[in-house]
Amino acid sequence: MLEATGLAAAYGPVKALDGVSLTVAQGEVAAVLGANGAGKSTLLRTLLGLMPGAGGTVRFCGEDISKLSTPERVRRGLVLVPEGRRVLTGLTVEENLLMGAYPRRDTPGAAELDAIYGRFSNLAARRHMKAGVLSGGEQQMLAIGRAMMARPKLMMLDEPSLGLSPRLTSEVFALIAALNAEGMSILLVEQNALLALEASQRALVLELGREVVAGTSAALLKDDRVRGAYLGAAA
Amino acid sequence: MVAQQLVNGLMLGAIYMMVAVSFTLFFGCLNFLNFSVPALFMLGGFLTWAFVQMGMPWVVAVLGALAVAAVASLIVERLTWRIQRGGPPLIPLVSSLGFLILFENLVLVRWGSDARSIPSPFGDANIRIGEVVLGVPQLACLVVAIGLVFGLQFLLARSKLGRGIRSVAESPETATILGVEVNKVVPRLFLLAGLFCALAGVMFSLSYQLVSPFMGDQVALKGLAAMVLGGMGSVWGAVIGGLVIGLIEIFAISALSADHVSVVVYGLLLAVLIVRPTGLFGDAGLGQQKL
Repeated sequence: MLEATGLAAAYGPVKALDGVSLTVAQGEVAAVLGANGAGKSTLLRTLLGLMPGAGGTVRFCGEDISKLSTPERVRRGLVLVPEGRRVLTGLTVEENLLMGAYPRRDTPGAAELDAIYGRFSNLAARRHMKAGVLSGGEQQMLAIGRAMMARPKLMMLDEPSLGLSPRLTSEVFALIAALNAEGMSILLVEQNALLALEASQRALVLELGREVVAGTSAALLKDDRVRGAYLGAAA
Repeated sequence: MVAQQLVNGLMLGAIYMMVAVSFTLFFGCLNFLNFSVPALFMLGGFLTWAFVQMGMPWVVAVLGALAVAAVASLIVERLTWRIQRGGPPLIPLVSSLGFLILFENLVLVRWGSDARSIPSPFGDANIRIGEVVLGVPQLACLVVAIGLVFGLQFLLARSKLGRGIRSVAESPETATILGVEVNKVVPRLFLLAGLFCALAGVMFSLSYQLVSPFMGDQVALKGLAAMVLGGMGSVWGAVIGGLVIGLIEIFAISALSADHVSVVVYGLLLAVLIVRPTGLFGDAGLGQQKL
């Protein structure tokens, strides 16, 4: 589904990503782990074409999309739920959802919105309120609902648990599992390594923009380096 | 007498309102004070005269003038906005000022600096309601202007393009992440806002039957004042600001004299800004949905 090789990106003179490769198979949850500043968000931004001057090749659904603009990539079904949700605070909940469908050529029907509201009852009650008044958890749900409206083939989530209570975090992860069970491929960036490894089939660990470990999540859960550095176990 | 002035004020205010809406669209969505607006206003009004002068029928002349103004607005988008985005924010402003001077002087070179009188396509038609005389062109302009503002509101609030514009206004990067092609939405905004002030220019020339290469300067200054009065970035603020300034101007002319108009208008603007520095309706821009 997604195959990226030799990704490189920099903020000015600072290399943020250096030769990272990554694969996400159809129907799979893949996770990217690492500390703050390891390049996780930059990796997602590079995949979506948001990093000017980025190097490497991105193949998506059999097509080389490395040279395409971000909106072109979104239109092909590569959709990001950005870090910090980034809901449009001045637009209503419903308008935010409709913005998710912006790159689509067809107009989303009421049934489709209702399906989202059915999943997120909090959003249904607040559909005509400005998204800026929602709580952090509701904004996260809105950001995910908005991404769903784009009809993604691969949904990329950047730190979906950031700033959420443990209860809301588990709600978000239950949602990710449900979406995956419905056939959605998912690429997850997460600081909470244990949660991410339990939710995924494949994972990649970044340190200072380089890949240090990659493999199946089951193997990584047993990997001494991962356990020592990210899971808080004695190495 | 008062009723007549009320009507005249609203009619003049409708033109300021259109110009103020144009300014506020640029400012609210792009944080861009577009100084080419007076030139687009002038192109609308002046070229209508020029094309009629060349023997074109009225409708063709108006459409031709609007088309030229639309192209001019797109040129400003390409050369001041797009290629200079991301640089110091004052550069597009100064560059748009350059286009104001360029467009005005291109017209000056071709047609000279004299003010020209433009015949009215409506003749001397007017309607009397009691003591109040309504000029047909002015009345038509007022109705069209108000209709267009409501149309614009509807477009911004309900259409896909409107949501796209508002998302770009709030955050170009978030809009991009959602799949909005900012470089397609922004030219449409320039087209829309440019046509608004060009149409105001057409209305001005039809209502007051006088055009000159610099006809945009005075009107746009009032339009700018109207935007600031209403609150920068707020469409309804621009509407109220435009109408209020039109009314004040007409009442100031009759109560004092034409020489005192500027003192009253800008004095009032200053007074309002001292009390409410963000203007009457200005707490937030278009991005924060002050619609």
